[in-house]
Amino acid sequence: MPIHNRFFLRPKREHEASPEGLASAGPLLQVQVEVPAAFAAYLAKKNQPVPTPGVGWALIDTGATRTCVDNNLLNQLGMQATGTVTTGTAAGPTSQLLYPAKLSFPGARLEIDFGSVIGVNLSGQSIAGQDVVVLLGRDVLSRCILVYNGPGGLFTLAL
Amino acid sequence: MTLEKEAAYFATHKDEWLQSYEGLFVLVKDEELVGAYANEEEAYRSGLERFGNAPFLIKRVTKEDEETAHFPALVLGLLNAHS
Repeated sequence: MPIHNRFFLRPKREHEASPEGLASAGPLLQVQVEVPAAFAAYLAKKNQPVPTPGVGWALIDTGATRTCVDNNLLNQLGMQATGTVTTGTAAGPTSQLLYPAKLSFPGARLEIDFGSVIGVNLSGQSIAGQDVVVLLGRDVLSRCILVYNGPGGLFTLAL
Repeated sequence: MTLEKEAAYFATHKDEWLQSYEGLFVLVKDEELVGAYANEEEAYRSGLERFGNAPFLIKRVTKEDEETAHFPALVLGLLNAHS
């Protein structure tokens, strides 16, 4: 079972946990957004290069029902939509496009090939100066154990 | 919007397809039902083979109501918020 632990430590006092560091940044993981295996195989068959994965941070978002990926990144990978989904917004329901995608979490030695993720505009979204390119939603968390230890300045994600 | 035509075609034919394809993933391009598959990946591979890297609709045929997805932190603009 891949287990990812992330500890937040106080600058210059690295033996001390930093609850405020975790509170400020949130539960972030390094993520690579890649084309799904089926698309990679299609490109290989056509002798076309597989696009370089996009990198950034994934924020574990317990408020999100499904995983969302920055649509600029999906466009860079050459992904085309394979579905639509109704989403709830403050202005009422709207429609968003779905894309297949593969997410790799190098720190957690974990890869997930998604049948579909929601393409959303995450440009300019950052937490504590770090760009967020993925919101990891409850579709993934439904298969995980997530421990958020605020006072200890750490979180654990196990799949 | 991309896939608008396909989504409308699915909605029109959903009740009919429930008779034969309930639980399967259908692949729809324009106003054509291309096939029904056991899983999304199989449907996606079939779509790539048939249409190349182009938009096409893959959707599970189910009696359940259409899903509404929520991600309030993003839609309410809270990701950049700091106390």
